[in-house]
Amino acid sequence: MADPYRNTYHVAVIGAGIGGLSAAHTLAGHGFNIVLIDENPHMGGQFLRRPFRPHNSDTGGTASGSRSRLLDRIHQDPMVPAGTWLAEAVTAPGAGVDILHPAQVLGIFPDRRIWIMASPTAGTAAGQDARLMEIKAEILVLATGAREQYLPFKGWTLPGVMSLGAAQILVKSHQVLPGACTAIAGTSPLMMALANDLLKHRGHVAALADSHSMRWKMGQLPFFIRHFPKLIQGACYAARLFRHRIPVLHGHSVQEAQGQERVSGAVFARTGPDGCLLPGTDRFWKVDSLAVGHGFVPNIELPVQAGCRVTYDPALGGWAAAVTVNMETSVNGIYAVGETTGIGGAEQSWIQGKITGMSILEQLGCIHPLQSRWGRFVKTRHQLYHRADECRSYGALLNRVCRVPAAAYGRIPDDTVICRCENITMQTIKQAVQNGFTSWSSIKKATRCGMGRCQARICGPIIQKIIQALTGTEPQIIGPPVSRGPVKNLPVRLLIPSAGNPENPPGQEKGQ
Amino acid sequence: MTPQLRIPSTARGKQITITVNGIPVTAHEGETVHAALTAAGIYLLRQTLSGEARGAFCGMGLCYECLVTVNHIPDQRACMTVVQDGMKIRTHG
Ligand SMILES: Cc1cc2nc3c(=O)[nH]c(=O)nc-3n(C[C@H](O)[C@H](O)[C@H](O)COP(=O)(O)OP(=O)(O)OC[C@H]3O[C@@H](n4cnc5c(N)ncnc54)[C@H](O)[C@@H]3O)c2cc1C
Ligand code: FES
Repeated sequence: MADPYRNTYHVAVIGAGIGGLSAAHTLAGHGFNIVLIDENPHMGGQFLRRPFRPHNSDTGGTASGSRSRLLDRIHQDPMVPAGTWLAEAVTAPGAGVDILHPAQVLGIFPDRRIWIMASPTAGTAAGQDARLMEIKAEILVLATGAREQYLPFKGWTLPGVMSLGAAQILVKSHQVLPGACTAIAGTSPLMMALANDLLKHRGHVAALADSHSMRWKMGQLPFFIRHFPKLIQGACYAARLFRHRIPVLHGHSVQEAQGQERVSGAVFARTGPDGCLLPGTDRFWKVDSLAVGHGFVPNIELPVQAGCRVTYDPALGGWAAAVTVNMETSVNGIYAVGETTGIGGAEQSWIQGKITGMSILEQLGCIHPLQSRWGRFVKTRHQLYHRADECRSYGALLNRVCRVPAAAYGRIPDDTVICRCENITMQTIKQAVQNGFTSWSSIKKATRCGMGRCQARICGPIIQKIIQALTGTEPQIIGPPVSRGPVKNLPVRLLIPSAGNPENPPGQEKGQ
Repeated sequence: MTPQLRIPSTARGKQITITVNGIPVTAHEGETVHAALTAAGIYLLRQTLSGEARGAFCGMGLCYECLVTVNHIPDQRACMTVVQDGMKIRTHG
């Protein structure tokens, strides 16, 4: 089969969220070969969750029976139509951007060689016809976005307990409800967004438990005045919850998810100011799904693996790729854009994508000080720097609103699973910490936490906070999660072809 | 009976059929295996070595909790795999 992709490019953009799309769009049309790589079967990253719109639609109906169109119109995020336009512009046939997806980037090696696993027809990067390939690029843009983080509780491993993002993807991209009756809990603004999405589609929301008290939240309101549209959005969400009489439990957290093979109930309890659950305040809700989330952390495994410097700042959401104002990382020729560089919302990714694109155009000699358009170029870039700063300040606020009191991580009950892949409980982690394993690399060796399939993407931020809560050690000393290639699971059959005959399936685990 | 989790009257891809542990299940083009399984009320996707039930958690390809066997290839993430007509899924509940 002829390979539809080249193996050298001027620019390779990893991640097709708003950040990656925006960088690719700024670069397109200047005569460069650009490739945009994403492992997701759908383009647009975590923000653009659009329903699949086929040409030969079976039903052809319009998007769902919403009862309050006015509310929807008032609070629609202007980034949604803007992002949709961006995605269409970049993926249009004449745009000059090669799209490689679903394809997973496994690692980045010297001279900006990218190691990729792609599967041309299977609908997933690791499918039947998966193969490994290498692309070399003059310039690399890392736009790997962010993920959610969690405060573990008893039963959070039960089927039916899921992240807020998972529930949101089911509803927004696939128009499938996460369950017949869903409870929502955590500290994230996504909780309100999810509750709204569910109600809009006639889903049933049992209750929404927000760990922060009403009083604390009211205290944060003045800081949002600068970000007025977000306040309006929040007010519209609250109005819909009120109209549907959804119980909103302020200052409550999940104590336990109950069930055998699937969640059948959630117990919420009142939370003290330091995050402890107050005894005797628990309330049971019968539910068949529970969505939880406690804010966001940047996805830094690729930047770390590639050798880029990362910095720790709670205002950025934790460890994030360190960048200059022009979005360059510490490694020559590698840029980072969007939430990889710190949580800040979709607009931040859009703006940073533009800055990245412009800086690359400058680096590749497309624009230089002797040209008459240089003045306009510099002015535009300065305006973008200013807007990017505004977005950062919103990001810092967002991270503060999501933050769980540090002590709450120290109080996780002993029998709670912390590392889901290796089934390691709080008791084991606590013991290791007491025995002096208080850096990321030492606790990993002592307990095997973070060594399973998820490679610490889920438990990494949790374990860091547990160590911090139990010992007071600063995150800078604990260190960022270690990351080596392959950053995601590589099926053994791709390395040893004889191990992977689908007619004779090898029933064993395929790990790293 | 499984409750109706598919939101009515929305634009969807063409209706197709996949099999889950040998049983035919309705799905729509463009959706992920995770969405099709959820719509069919299937949450339990695998068991840990100690027998604990697990299902999809992050929904975006990070946690590897949703591993199922797709067309005889083991350990595929249900949330990152798009359904295709006639796809054979095996869960390990
Ligand atoms: C679960 C979730 C829900 C969110 N919902 C909202 C919302 O409703 N409203 C809102 O304003 N903001 C929301 N956000 C914030 C949102 O992430 C940002 O606003 C915006 O999407 C960030 O864009 P980005 O391009 O930086 O990253 P992302 O949109 O996260 O895109 C990163 C992309 O990189 C890809 N990628 C990562 N690693 C690899 C790899 N190794 N190989 C190949 N591809 C890779 C991913 O598949 C992904 O598509 C949400 C965030 C999360 C995590
Ligand atoms: S649900 Fe986390 S990887 Fe699929």
